Parts: sequence; C-alpha cells; structure tokens
Amino acid sequence: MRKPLAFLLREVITFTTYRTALILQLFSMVISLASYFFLAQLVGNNLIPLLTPYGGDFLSFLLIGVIFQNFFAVSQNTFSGAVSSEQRLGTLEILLASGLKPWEFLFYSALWPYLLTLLNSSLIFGLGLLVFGMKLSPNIGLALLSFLLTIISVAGIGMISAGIILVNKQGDPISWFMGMLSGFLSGVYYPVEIFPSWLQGLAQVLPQTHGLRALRLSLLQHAGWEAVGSEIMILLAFSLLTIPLGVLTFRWAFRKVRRDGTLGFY
Amino acid sequence: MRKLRLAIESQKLSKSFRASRKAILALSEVNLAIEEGTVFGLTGANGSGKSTLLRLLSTLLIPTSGSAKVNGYDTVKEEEKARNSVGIALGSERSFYWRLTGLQNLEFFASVSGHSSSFSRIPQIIASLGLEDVIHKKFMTYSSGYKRRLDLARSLLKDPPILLLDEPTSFIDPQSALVIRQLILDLKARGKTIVLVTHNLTEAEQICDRIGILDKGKLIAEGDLSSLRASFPNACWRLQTSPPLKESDRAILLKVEGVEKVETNSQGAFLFVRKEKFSPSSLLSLVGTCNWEITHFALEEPSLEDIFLKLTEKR
Repeated sequence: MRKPLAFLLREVITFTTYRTALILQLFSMVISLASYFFLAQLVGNNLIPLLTPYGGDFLSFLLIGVIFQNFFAVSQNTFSGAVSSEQRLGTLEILLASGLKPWEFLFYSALWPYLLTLLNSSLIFGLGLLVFGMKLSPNIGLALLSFLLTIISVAGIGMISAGIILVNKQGDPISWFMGMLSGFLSGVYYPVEIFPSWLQGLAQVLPQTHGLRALRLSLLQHAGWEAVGSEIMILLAFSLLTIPLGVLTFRWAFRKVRRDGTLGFY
Repeated sequence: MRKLRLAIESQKLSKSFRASRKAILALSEVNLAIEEGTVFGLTGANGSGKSTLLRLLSTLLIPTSGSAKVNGYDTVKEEEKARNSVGIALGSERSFYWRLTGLQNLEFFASVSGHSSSFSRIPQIIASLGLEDVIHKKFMTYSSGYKRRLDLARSLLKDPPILLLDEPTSFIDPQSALVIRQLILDLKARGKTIVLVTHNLTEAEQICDRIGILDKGKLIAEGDLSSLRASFPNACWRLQTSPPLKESDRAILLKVEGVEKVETNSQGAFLFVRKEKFSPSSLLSLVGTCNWEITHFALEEPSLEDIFLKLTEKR
C-alpha cells in the first residue's frame, strides 16, 4: 500500500500548494451546476417522449450524464496525462529507474484524478439531490457494475493513448478523437435517440454510450438485468478488447522509447 | 545476492540512435570489467557516450548490440533485478518535484522504490550529505549544490551495491563537491561499486581506482592511473643546470634523439620526448660535452589531463 499512498500524498501536497486553482475549481463546479439547473428549467419536460425511458426528468438525466462523463474522461485522459506530466517535469526516467514498474506508474498516477473526480461528483450529486430536486430510483448493484465496466473499457483506450504519448510526446489522435466524439455522441447532454439513425449507429462504437444508458436506466428507473443486461455484455466485450490492446500498446511503447533513447524527452 | 568479483561487465556494448533517418553511433563495442568495491571514473568530451553508457547500465536504454551485466544480472534478460541493483544520480535538476520539500521527495522515492528499508535509511542519508538545514524546504528553493546532494541522496535509498553517478560535482560550490567526494570514498570503503562520470580530471585522479576514457563512443583507454601513464607514448623530463639554460640552448637539446620539443623557463628546461626513442643517457652525455652542471634531472609524470588531451586529439 505504500506505493499508491505515496502517489496520493504527492498529489495532495502539490494540489494544496495551488490554492487559487483549488478555489476557482470549486466555483466552476457550483456555477456549472447552477447552469444545468436553469437549462433544465428552460427545457422543462419538452423532450418527454425521448426522456420517458429514463424517467422523464431532464435535470436528473443531465446530471447523471455530466457526473459519469467526468469519470470516463479521467479514464480516457489520466494515463496519457501522467506520462506527459512526468515527461515535462523530467521525472519519468528516474521514476522508472527507481524500481517502479510501468503499470504501477500508470495506475498509481490515476488514483488522485479518480479520487478528485469522486469528491467533485459526490458534491454535484449531493447538491443535485438536496437542492435541485434530482430524482433517483437506483439499482445500485447494476449501476456499479455498469460504471466499473465502462471505466475499465475506457481505461484500456486511455492506456493506448498513454503509449502513443510516450512515443509522440504530444499529439495523441486517439484522445482527441474520443474526446470529440464522446462529448457529442455518447449522450451526455441529450439522449442518443435524438440523432439520425446513422449517427445513432456511430454512437454505438463508444463504450461511454452504453455506459451512460445502463447507468441512467439503473439509477433513474431501477432497471434490472433484462433492461441493461445487453449493455453490460457489450461493455464486458469492450473491456476484453481494450484492456489487452492497451497493455500491449503501452508495453510496445515503453520498449520503443528505451530503444530510441527518448524515454526522458519531452 | 550472488557474490561476484565483477560488479559491472560488458561485452561489445553498442548503442545507436536514429536522427533524421540516419543512425548515429553513440557507443561502440565497449568492453568493461569493473571490480566490486572500486570507483571507476569515466571521462570524455561532451557527446562521447558517457551518459548513454550509464543509461544502458541502469536499464533506461536497451542496447543495439552487445550485452552488459550489473551485479551479475543481464540488463536486458534480467532487467528488473539489474535495475534493483543500481542507484543512479543523473545530475538533472528537473528530476525532482519542485513543490515538495527535499524530505517529501526522498520519502516519495523511497516509497516507490519498493524497498521496505529505504524509509528507515533516510535520516542517516540526510546526515551523511549535510542536508539537515534544507531538508524541510521546498526543492524549488535549493541551490545547485543542495540539488546535487539530494540527487545523490536519492540514489542511496535502495542501498544498492552499484551507484552510477553522472557528474555529481559539476557546477557546484567547493563545499558541496567536497561532501560528495568524501561520501563516494565512504561508500567505496563500505564495499560499494561506483561509476563516476566526471570532467574534473583532478577529481578522477584523486578518487578513482580505474579510469576509462571515452571518445566518440569508443573506450579508447582504460586502466589505473599508473598503467595509463605507462601506456602514454610521450614523457616530459625536467632539466636544471648551472649555469641555467638559455633560450639559445634549445637547439642543442633538440638534437638528442627522441626529443620532440623543448620549453625553457625559470624552472629549467622541459623536454617533451617520445619514450620509445629517447634515452636519458644520451642526454646526459650531451650535457657533459657542454660543460653544464646538472642540478636537477627528473621525469615529470603526465597528468590525467595530459593523457586525456593526447589521446583525444585529432581523432
């Protein structure tokens, strides 16, 4: 446990030395939440036919999308971000020479972003429930399973990104592509059923689309296996595909930079 | 741990990099045999391959061809064991977390090293490097000397049998350099093997048991100082006579076989000779014919700097 705790402690110390950024981040979160509330007021229940499968409440639909999209974004970006950050600081070589295994470096570096997102999301969740009238009818078990499988699927893609960043230093087309697509296509702000059928088809290639659908159904409608089972199986398939690909890509990248002599370059 | 006489060995160790579609040879067929408990000095001009060699030995680089073993472990086939046998100080100020204190940095690297005893060793390491006064200050406030000391402190956390130190005393104040040199000697006395990359040839003469000279990726000379001197093709003799030699006497001395150059000053004449051709007796015969009385005649040992400059010139 000493290694993951060391990474967490390092990040907490560093984070708390940037006090202005900390305060601004808190303000941003509250302002975002207020924006979602007023957007929901404006929209009202006009999209009821499309929101009916999710309970019909736009604010609840939106907050679930935003909160979990934050987690998925961490899975997508945190590994490449960690590689890039250590390259910039000049600490990557010495970290890996110290006896830390590459996979340990990736996963321990991700702990703090996940924890921070958990704190952030808990606050949004709490405010959403207590202040803004978010309505939940959760099936906790299936929601947790859907959440974990989506996180794992996207983490596999994130590991591929980390491998690319390790080699390229900057400019990761996968992160860029997934970042663009997932915000637009996975149904964070609106149900994917609003798209024309060809775009709906394209949205299915993103694990986030299936994750958000399963999470909304299980958290807002207390849906059981018959409603979300197919989404969970798709997420499992995504996980089985992306994790080995991510591991292989990162391992290849690590060997390549040691052959090329660019491990410490930025 | 396997007990071995050689701490580091390499056979035809080579490394080339690609730049603009061209292969650049950074290290060419380097053979090393460094005994346990010794300090091996590595010197050479900038870009001669010293840091590349350290990175290969620490597993941060994979060789293009050839092989190396540290502490008996192959750096490619047994890279994890090899990595755990080595402590490395790369001499880079950027290899620390600047917003953390020196102690927080050491505690972080001790934790990630995976060696349970690293933590308990920290106070002793801090004391041995005289870091007590600054250890609770943020790294960003450190002077260059303290940054180097902390770099060295970090390399000791695992208590590794082998230390690879990349110019630990360059660009720092004399006090810090002295502390670091003393620590290197203490570590050697405790049986550690140290590879010391340095441009300071006086330092290499003082603390290294053996010295390797790299030039354009090739190890062009290797041995202890006396063997390097013995292999040096040139020598310098200092001659003092009564009456003192004059500038006009240079031409006479140049007639002696093997004498290539003569310089005179208030300390006498300095005769630069080729060892294989020069015989001191022929010079003494000449002095006798000139009726000079010899007050001093001795061989001036070449410094490591003389040897380095001679070996690396016109290559």
